[in-house]
Amino acid sequence: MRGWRVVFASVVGIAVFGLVWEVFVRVTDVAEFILLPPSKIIAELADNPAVYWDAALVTGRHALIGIAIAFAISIVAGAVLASSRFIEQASQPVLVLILVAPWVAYFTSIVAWLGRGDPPVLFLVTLVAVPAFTFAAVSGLRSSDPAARELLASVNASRLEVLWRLRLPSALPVLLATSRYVIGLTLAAAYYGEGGNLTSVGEGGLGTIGRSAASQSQGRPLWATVFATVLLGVVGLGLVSLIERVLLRWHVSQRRSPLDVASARPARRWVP
Amino acid sequence: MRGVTKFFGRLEALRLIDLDVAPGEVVTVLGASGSGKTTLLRLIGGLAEPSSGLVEVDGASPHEARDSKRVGFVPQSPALLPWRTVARNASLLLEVNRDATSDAARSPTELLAEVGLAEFTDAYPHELSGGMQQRVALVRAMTLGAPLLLMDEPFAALDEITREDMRHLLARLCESLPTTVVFVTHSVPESVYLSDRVVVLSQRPGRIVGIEQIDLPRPRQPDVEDDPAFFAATKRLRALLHEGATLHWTPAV
Repeated sequence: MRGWRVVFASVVGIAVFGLVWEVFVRVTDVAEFILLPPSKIIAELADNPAVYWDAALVTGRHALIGIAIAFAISIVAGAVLASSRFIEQASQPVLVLILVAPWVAYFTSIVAWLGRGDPPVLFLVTLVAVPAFTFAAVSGLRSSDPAARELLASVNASRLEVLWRLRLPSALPVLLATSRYVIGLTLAAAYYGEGGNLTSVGEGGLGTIGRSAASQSQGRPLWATVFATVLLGVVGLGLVSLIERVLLRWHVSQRRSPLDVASARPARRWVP
Repeated sequence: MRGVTKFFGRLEALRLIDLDVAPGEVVTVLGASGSGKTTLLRLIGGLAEPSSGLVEVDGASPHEARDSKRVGFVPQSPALLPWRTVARNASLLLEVNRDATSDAARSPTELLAEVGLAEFTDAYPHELSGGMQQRVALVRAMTLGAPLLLMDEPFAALDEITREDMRHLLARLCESLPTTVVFVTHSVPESVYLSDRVVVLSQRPGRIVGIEQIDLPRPRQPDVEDDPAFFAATKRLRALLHEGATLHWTPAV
């Protein structure tokens, strides 16, 4: 019952962490704005569930759409970059620039360009996710088995066929692995974008609430939004795991160790 | 092949190869590592271009032959797609470039059954042993029903016992087909068992040291390996290989 052990261990870990946090805050009597104890965070969320739920949906939507667009862009870009070393080397500095440029600084310019509301947030989220996905796409597309490529060449497969049948599936594991850490990045970008967008609290996401709470030094809503964003991240990671389990059934990362085979359902496995 | 020479930069891999393979013949290219035998195979399949000389497949260029899917290629490693089941891997070459699939194409399911993998059609490659994977690779090439089969040391990574089983299997499969087979190997018994003629390549730069006719009875049975004629053939081939190993290297003029 390996699965239950893992879940139990995680729950224990989180519970201990929460306990230490709670005790620390109570003992040091730190101000609410600086650090809110878990008990008060949960109380704040329980007082206004609808507000936070709606806001979480907005933030989640921003992150999800941004990731999806970035994913699509990076596959196209990756295919182009993977096909030519020159283009790849030429684009690398640009991608790195995007990766390291502090979006915190240029976001107001984006708002000025795209106006208020969703567009600037989506733009920012997509922008921050593109470099990571593109690097992953290039690496993944290049990792396809050279013997398989020769095999397809022996029947004069077109470039598109090679891309679709061989290279993209080869790139899938690294792309999904990258999406795990892109989730944190995009949620941060979404949060920041909503906050810097100056839309009214009614239509905004967690970032909007958070920014307004921060400017009024209200610790409770601020930390509640932080907590909610973390929860979104956890849900996102869970989704990625689920997708991996389904799409990467064949991949070595999804295989149980040989030691588990005896306890697992008998699979049609040929163990030499 | 006529007067085919192949350079990789300054490295001369093959020199002045003249080789004719008759339709329906099984020819083995035998040589030590580095003798250029894989290069020779790839030149026939059009996966590489000769530096000089001419390569023709069935009167057409190798590129044209590949375009009409008249070449079935079995690479050294099985190169199965890990995300596809055995059945779908076997039909891979049929799906690619679909318009060029000939009428002589054979059913993957039937072929899988012939090689003994009928129960594994829904398995994934990682669940199979090396020998089983290589059998899928064989089926994949044979489904094309192509007039030419090129095999690049397909059994090189297998243990001795599995190798023997595989060459008996391959001989049985080829028996019923009018396919021309060019098979690359460094194993002498393999070349004697499988082929009508064996082409022996020297050390780099690879030149043809000799071509041996193998006159053992067809269809080949596993017990022919105990036949004195079999042993005599392997002896002659080993002598040729030895000759090829001690040939002096002279710079190409």
